[in-house]
Amino acid sequence: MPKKQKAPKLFPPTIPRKRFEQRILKRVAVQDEKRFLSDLYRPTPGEEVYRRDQELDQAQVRKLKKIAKAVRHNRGFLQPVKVGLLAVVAGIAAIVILFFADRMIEQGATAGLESLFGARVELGDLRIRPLQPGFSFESLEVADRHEPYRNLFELGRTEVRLDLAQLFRGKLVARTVETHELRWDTERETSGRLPADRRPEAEERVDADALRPPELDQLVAERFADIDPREFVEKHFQQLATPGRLMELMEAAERDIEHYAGRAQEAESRVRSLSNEAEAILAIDPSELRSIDSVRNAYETVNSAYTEADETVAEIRATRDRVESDYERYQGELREIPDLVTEDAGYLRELVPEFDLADASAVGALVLPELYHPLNERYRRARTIWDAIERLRDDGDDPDVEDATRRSGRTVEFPEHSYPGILFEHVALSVGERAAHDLQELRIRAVSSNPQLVGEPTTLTFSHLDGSRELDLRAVLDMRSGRAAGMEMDLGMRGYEFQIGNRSGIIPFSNAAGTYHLEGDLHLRRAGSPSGSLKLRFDQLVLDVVEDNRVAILARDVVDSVPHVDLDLRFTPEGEVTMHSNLDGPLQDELYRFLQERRAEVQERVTAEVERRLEQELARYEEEIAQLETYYEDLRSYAERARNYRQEIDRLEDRLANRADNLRAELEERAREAADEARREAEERAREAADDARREAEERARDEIEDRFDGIRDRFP
Amino acid sequence: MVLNAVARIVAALNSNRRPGEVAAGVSCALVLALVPGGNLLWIAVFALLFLVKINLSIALLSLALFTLAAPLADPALDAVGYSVLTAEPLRSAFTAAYNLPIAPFAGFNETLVMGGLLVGLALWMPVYLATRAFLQLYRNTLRSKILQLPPVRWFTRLPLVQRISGWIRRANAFYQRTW
Repeated sequence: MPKKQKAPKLFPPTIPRKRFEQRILKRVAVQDEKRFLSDLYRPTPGEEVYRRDQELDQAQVRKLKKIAKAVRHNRGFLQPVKVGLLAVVAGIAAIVILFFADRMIEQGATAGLESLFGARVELGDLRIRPLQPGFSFESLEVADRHEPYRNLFELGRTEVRLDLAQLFRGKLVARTVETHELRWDTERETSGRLPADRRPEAEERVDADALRPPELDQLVAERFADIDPREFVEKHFQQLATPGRLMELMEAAERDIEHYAGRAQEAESRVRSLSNEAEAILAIDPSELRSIDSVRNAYETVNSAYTEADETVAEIRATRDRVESDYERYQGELREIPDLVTEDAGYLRELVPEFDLADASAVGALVLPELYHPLNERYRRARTIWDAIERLRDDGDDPDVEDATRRSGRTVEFPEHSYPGILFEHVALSVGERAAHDLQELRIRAVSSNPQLVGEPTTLTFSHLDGSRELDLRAVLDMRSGRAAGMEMDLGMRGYEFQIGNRSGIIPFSNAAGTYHLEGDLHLRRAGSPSGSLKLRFDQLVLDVVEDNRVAILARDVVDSVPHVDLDLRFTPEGEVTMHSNLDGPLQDELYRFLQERRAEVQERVTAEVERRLEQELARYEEEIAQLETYYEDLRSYAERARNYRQEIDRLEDRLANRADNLRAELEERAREAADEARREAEERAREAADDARREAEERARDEIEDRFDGIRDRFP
Repeated sequence: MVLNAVARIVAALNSNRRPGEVAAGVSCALVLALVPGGNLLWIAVFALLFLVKINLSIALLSLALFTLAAPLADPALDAVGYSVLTAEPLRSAFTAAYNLPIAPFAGFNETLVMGGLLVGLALWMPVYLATRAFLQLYRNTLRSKILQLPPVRWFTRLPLVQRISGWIRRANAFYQRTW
């Protein structure tokens, strides 16, 4: 028997009127179901209840369950499950933030700083301070993206106080940043280079714009560098007269050689042909010639060969004579070359620079290469920090950036104290005690992502007192629109020691040491070179020089002769760097004398070099001339051979003539004998013919006589 | 997924749910459509949809439809918003509100946001009442009449339609159990 289903608890047999009408019937949305309930529950007269009298069948129970579910759903406006879920999620988020916020913010800040500086950043032990809005960290290391194993700077314990109200407005406004330790350019154990996909795009541009005084190398090269005679001669070689003349002669000789080579080849060919022909002709034995015709033919052949040999000899002789004449001409030209070489050597001697130091600072030329590297390093660091500040800029503050798909209305501005997206109002470093003469103070104001909004440029003041050393730096970086973006710096350094050891170069010092004071102002621009001036005063400057270097020795002597060395550097926006010093006059005089000696040495070396070089050219030319001589010899040999052949042919011709004379005599004799025999034979035949004719005539006469006798007899029978 | 959405919408129209839930969904969708997105105000209203008993399927469908048409109302919304934001009597209140924490994220100083919000709130109740009245009319009268129409009856007897209506019934039952 199936189990009887019970009605839902919401639908007992009796329901109070108010409950039925207000809490049940009102929450049923479908009319059919309302009617079903009204039919099932009837109001009881006199009682404030609705009563269900009939027994429920299974279909009614199922329908009531369905209605009960709908009634429960339609109760209230909130979704309690989802609200609870939201509360749980919020609670979990709060717990996560409470326990992991430090780590999350540390990671976020590290990533942000890495994108600003383009190098690895290590942030140590960051702690959030919820009660006093802000955070602190124990250490910060920012790597130098140009030197991965060095840090751009390091901070020690640092406390950052944030403006909470602005934080809730989406702005990171640090009212104060207090740090207690700052170190520049420290070593790293691991590489600070970021993976390629995380490096900022502008990195290469900064490198290209680095401080580069281009004329330094040129200045040094022109004034002091050794002149390599070989390079010097090579540089000016095309301006010399000798190479040009030799070139002309060589070109003419080459043309002649080419021509005579053809003629020699032709002569050789003709001699070879003549040789073959002569061999064949000389093989004729005149004694074996039996007929006058064969002798005549042989004679004609020999005569023709002789004529050809004669022509060949004449042509080869003519060519040989011309070669001889040209050879003589070239030899004549060659005899004139040494005079030209002497002229050229003199010309090059005059080209050796005078080393005129009147328009340049001698000290500048000596010192600038030394200053170049450290100045460039500091400039590059300043530009790296500048880039980092620039990358803070709010993209959203740019009015040109607008999503084209977004509906665009207008924005109504209300008065407010506007802050940029990121603002470090006041960064301060304070280390040490003034009494202990070791004090570092750094103040940075208004580092922001929108300098325009802040209304003031970023300013930095840094002072460092360390015993007798004192450094003051004041820098203003103005990146507000409408102003030439740039950094103005005033720098003062007093009592700093310096030491340069083992300097190899034009003026080698084994050691240079002293103290210096520096006052300067520099104006750095976004592109191009820095401009400004630096005044340096060196005290107690001691130079230990390599003893066999005369320039170093005279520089040391000049330095020793003055109480201090003053240098005045000026950088122009065009990239020119000039330097003047109180040593310029004395050092210049000494250098001038020295350089004059050097010039004479260089001139001698240049002369030797140009002679050597021209001799090389001359040797090439002489090789060409020798080639011509070879052809001359060849042609002479060919002419000799042709002449020999011609003589042999000549002799053969004589022999043939003799043979012809002999044959002629022999033939005349034979003819004479033949004529006699013919005459005799003719006489014999004539005699025989006369005899025959006589006999025949006698016969015919007898016959005639007989005939006539017969006739006579006939008439007389 | 589309079938599920259709099933939910059909279920919402036909199930034993308060017509107010559906009507509130349409009204809230109208507000969300009129207020441009990307600000805290819009996100707050959108989050509200999930916390109160509003028919989410109807709300999302309505939001999609209203969003297509909303840009047509932008000139009017801009004018309303601008006139309110620049009204001198309200200036001090807006200034104070603007300087409150988090306020800038609401974007209320943008004319379309302010105009959309005001117009949306103004239209909320009429749209709510009209939708609810229409739903009641549909459930009480139109639904049975529509089902009795010969083309509808022919259509509902098609095997494919019956199969789909089976899915809808199951979805309806699931929906009622879940929500």
